[in-house]
Amino acid sequence: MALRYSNIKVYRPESLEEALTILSTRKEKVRIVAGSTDVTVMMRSGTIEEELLDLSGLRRSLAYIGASGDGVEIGALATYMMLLSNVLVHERVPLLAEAMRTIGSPQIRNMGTLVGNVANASPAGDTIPPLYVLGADIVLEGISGTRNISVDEFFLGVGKTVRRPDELITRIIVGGQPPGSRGFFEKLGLRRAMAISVVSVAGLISLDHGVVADARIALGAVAPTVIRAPGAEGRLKGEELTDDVMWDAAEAAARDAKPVTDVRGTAGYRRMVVASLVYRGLSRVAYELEVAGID
Amino acid sequence: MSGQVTGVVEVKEELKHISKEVPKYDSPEKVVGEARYLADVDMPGMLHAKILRSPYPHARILSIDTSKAERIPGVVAVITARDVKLNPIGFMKDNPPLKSNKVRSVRDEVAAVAAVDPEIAMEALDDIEVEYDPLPAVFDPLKALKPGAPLIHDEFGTNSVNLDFGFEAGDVEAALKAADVVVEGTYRTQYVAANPGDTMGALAWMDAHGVMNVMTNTQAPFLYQRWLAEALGLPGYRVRVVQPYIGGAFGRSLDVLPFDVIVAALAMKTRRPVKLQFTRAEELQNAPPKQPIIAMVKHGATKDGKLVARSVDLVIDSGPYVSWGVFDARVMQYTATGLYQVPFVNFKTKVVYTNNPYCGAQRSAGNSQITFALESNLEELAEELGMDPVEFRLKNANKPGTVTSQGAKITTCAMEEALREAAERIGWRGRRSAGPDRGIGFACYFHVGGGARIYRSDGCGAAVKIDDFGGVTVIVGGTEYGNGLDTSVQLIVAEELGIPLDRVKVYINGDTNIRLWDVGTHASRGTFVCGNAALHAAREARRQLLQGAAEFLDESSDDLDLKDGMIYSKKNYEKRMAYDKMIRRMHFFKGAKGTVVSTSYFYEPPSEEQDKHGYGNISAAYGFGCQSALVEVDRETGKVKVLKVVSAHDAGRVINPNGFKGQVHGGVMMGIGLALIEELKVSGGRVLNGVFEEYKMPRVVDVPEIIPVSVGEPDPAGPFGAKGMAESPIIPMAPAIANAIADAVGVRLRELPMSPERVWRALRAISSTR
Repeated sequence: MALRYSNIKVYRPESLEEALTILSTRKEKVRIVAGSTDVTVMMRSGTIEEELLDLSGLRRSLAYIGASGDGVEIGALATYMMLLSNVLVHERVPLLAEAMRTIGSPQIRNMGTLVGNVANASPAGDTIPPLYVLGADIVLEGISGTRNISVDEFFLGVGKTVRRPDELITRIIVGGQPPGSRGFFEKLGLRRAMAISVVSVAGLISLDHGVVADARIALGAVAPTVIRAPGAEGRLKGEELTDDVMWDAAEAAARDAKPVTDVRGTAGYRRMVVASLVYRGLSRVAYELEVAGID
Repeated sequence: MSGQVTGVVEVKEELKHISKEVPKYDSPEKVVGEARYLADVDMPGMLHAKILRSPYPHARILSIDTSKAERIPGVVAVITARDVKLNPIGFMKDNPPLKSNKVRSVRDEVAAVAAVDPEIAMEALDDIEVEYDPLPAVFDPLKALKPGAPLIHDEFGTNSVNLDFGFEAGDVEAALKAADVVVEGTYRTQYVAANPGDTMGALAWMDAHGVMNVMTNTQAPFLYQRWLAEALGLPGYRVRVVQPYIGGAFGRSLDVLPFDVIVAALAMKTRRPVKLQFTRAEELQNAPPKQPIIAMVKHGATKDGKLVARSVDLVIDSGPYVSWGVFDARVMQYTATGLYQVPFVNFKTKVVYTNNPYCGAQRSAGNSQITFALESNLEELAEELGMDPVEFRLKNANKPGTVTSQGAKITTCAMEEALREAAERIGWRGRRSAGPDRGIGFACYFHVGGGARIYRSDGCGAAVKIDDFGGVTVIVGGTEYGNGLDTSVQLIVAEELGIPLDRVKVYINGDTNIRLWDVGTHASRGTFVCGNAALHAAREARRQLLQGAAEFLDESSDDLDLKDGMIYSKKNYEKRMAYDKMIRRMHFFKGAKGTVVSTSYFYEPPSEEQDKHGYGNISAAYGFGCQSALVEVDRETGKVKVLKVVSAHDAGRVINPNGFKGQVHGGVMMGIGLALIEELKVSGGRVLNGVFEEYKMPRVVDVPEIIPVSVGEPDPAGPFGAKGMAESPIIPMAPAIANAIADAVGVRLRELPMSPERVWRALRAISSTR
């Protein structure tokens, strides 16, 4: 049955309670809309529920960015552009800012939200690998209560998460980058902007006296969800960032990846690009740390 | 700064308007949003059409039941091949607008609905019940030729299309045997979407006179008129075609397609205006893309680098119906015989029916594809010979005053100058000298520049009338879709008449009842052919004006001149009068004859149709040029970044420098898309990436530094010496980039697009053999 736009029922709650009440009754029948940069595309291709829950009436309460511990708390309606022009974000989670700068176009960044990117649960979502390495809690609210889910337990597959149909992600709490650590975000798209990642990688490296004390690496678009690269992380810990170590780690990351072949690239190529991008990110970090004199 | 133009388009002699940088004629209405495109046009009582297409690439239609769809409130008509008699369309008349027994591609039209809004029409499609019997399908043109392959058209008994574009000049086999060096390779190009801003569409209504009116964004309104009339079984004079403002076409709007006929048939049936305009997704899935080719190329040369022979074996996948895409072969043929001086040429084609999409013409109509094959192979030959690519090309460059083996008479030709400019301005210092992982590549082109006689007439008409206030209206048969023909015509007419530019209004697009015939604006022919028509019409208007003035100024018309809007005696400047005042005298003066100046001219270029051997001078002038590209290759990911492009063209005298630069920018970017990024991925006959999320074109951030350069001299046959160049900048872009990649990292890509993955695989292949 073709979908008629005029048949789509749109709820536009004025308060969080109202939104949660609607969700508790309509559940999976209703699609939640924040910036609509994904939903509009789905509507065009006809793969959308016939009811929408438009959150635009909740901007006053959900379009915010605040401090939380040493990290930041990001409301459900905070757009990429709001985040990119926020000092807290640049000071505490510069890695996240680096990733967000590569998303879409200014128009997309003006409309799209970080929480929407997470909720959409695409393994190619560019904010997700940084959240994995920074550590983040996804806050889900429903009329029966609130729960916090760690980002690495949140995603179940392509488009699938642990969010129950009656729950709304109201905010995400992101851990701050430890002092002296360096992050990197690298991606390969088929053109310089407005290109869904063929592969993306994020990393966060902390050194102690020239030796890697902590290494976290996450890979995007190479598995049904974003994944950590334990092999690569293990290879880095306790080592100096020499070229050999970085290449070994990059190759381990390629082995950690579980890519598939699709219209954007073959599995073999994606696996190789993981290694290239991890190496590139690590060598940039090594260079930056050297320049900064931190070792 | 990236993307900034630093090239200079030289003005070579003192002219008032020609070669001056002026704003595009239609920019005011486009800037303020006054221009109305097809998407902006609604009519009272208008219905919206949607087409039901086959879900199978190949199947028999067993039954169609439309009764449920017809009962939906808001549905006004549902048609199938049973209800309306429509004649098959296309060059081979092999494409029935609505299919009755069999579908041969996933685009095939089975039924159509007209409803009060597009959503109801969509809904109704779901309620049309069609029973199919799926048949084995074939998607590989080489497999389609094998015995036992599923037959696309059972009645023909073969999938080989009865069209041969072969051409032979001399004994190529013997010449290749005698050559010191022979290099061969197979090159493949891809499906590319034209993707103009304006999607394909038509709005049709039958008027009280029984005339079928169609508003459509076609590039060839008079062929459209004829072909639509044939398909509907109406006399041509009962079809009127109106073009609105058109937002790009790039060659894909030359044909009448089934949807055009279906919209008209629905308008006839409902007696209401009916409109269909593709959504972007429909455009990507159903509009004719660029024709892919498989080209086996061989070049032979002497030790010192003189070309002796060329052989091209071409396979063209026609899809299930012969459309304009197949006729790209004719353009490729002229390039095969014409690009560089090659004494012996053998050009062979196989055109094959498959269940893939059928293609249309697209910017250069095959030349960008064949030039990729030829210029890539030539570079491999130059490498084999150990020759500098520029020196090698100069040695074989086309020259003025020569005739190709196929009969193309080359009048003006500045290919050598273009090569030198392209080399100097890109900073060429020899192979492997562009820096680490950087490379420079070259490619030249040969293209029609004085029309293209692919139809019996290659002409265009123009009319000029001057009103009582000195306002000049020039009405042309040519089409404006962003190409800049409007501005060229304005400049030509103002220059020829000798009046200020703003007095000239250009009536372009609009109504086939008003305009004189034109074969269509394609093949870079607008400025040359339509420009010549306007020039001659203006020349006659000037003659009439001076003849009338002779009486009032008491002077022989031969002694009168018209400059800057003033008619004056060359012998005595005291005898003069502003031209608009003179116009009023001639019309209203007591005792005068009551003359109003109006003229028309039909220009038929001095070219000839091919004879039965394929020989003939199909264009009145030819365009030449060279492009160089500086690229940087990321060895780890295979991603290629184009840093700089020099785009040098012999377009005769450039009469509209802003138009020239615009075409260079557009063509270079389209060429970069073709070379590196764009591909409609077709599998099982279906486009897999038919949304902009997955179909990538270059965007503004991908634009390198582009340097447009004009070379050459005015051409004697062109209006004020102009030759066509609109398609040219796309033609040599992909091979220039392929050759630059080879220079940068030593790998040869023989298939487009040269995606990061393909480049990476090629790099991996050479590193594993080392």
